[in-house]
Amino acid sequence: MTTTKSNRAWIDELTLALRMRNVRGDAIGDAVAVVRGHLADSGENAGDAFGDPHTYAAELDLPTGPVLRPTDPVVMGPAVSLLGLLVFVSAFSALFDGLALDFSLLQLLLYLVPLTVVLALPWYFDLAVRHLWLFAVAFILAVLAAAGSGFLAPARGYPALVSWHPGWVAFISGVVLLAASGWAVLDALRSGSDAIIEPAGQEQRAAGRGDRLAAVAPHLLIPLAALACVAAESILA
Amino acid sequence: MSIKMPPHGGEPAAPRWPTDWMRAVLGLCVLQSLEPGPSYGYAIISTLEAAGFGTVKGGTLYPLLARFEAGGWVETEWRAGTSGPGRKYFSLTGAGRTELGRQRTAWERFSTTALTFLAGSPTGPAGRPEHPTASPTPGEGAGQ
Repeated sequence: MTTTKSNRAWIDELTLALRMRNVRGDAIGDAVAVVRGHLADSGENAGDAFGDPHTYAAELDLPTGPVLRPTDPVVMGPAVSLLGLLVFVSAFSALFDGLALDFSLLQLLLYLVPLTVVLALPWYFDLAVRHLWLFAVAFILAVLAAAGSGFLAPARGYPALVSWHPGWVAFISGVVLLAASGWAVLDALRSGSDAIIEPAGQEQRAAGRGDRLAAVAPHLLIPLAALACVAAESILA
Repeated sequence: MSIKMPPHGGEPAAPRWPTDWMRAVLGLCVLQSLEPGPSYGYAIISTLEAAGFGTVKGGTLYPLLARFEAGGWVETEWRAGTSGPGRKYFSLTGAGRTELGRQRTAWERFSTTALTFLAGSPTGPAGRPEHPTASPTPGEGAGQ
């Protein structure tokens, strides 16, 4: 099959446009195969034959997959897991240093920022999907607050409001982290990666081991980060 | 509204029909092109071109066929290509054949009405169709 570079770029753009419309992978594969077949038959340039890929994607009006909800495991799983990681890192660090896990009032108030960012997800999710920069702002706010809370710790002279045993906090936050990530991994394995599958006679790309790994891998990053934290503390100790 | 004809001599090329006309008739003609049997996109375009409709773009044809498929008027089947990518064949369903018959009858009545009027003898109320329109094409009409 001879597909010119510009045709390949056009097909990539069409694929992206259909993905952005949440069209199912098999329907995308079908649409792409139709374009490839037509171009092979006619010898035309994709842009001349089909026009703008985003307009074409809209006019095809293909069946779409289920709409993503903020309470879906793929959204809420990583969010809760990230929250667990923030607590786990502090607790494990204190545990390794043999210190109590003390928190000042200001520190706890700052921890409310990432907690709010995660728990309020259902209320701002739809808006943030339309304006992706809102996710970036929420993420930066959460990280800055979590990082900034370290400057307000009792070790820096702020009065301790609560004092917890770091072992228990590390254990509970670790369990929360693993449970949330596991929930997301199981959901990814169950629902598959929605790979783009072209119909018979075309380039077959069924969902194989690589696709399942690609679907699962993002959900393993946070547990791996926790593991890295444990390893780093062990090496430093 | 003008119909553009090619300036050169020799084999007369198909005229470029006004987009509105093509939009109105394209769905019916695509259904008609499938009446003899299953066909694929580029073959349908070639059939329409040979019939004098000019070149219909893939960007116009395939969304129309997708609406027909969603509406249950056509069904599809992929057939492997011998030397190249496979082809998606479209064929009329029972509902598609019924719709083709209905639209063809309605179009004949409409064109007769228009021709009679253009000839200078309007038919009057008695000439109006009893069932003025066929079922609408799934989705919107198609342009060239």
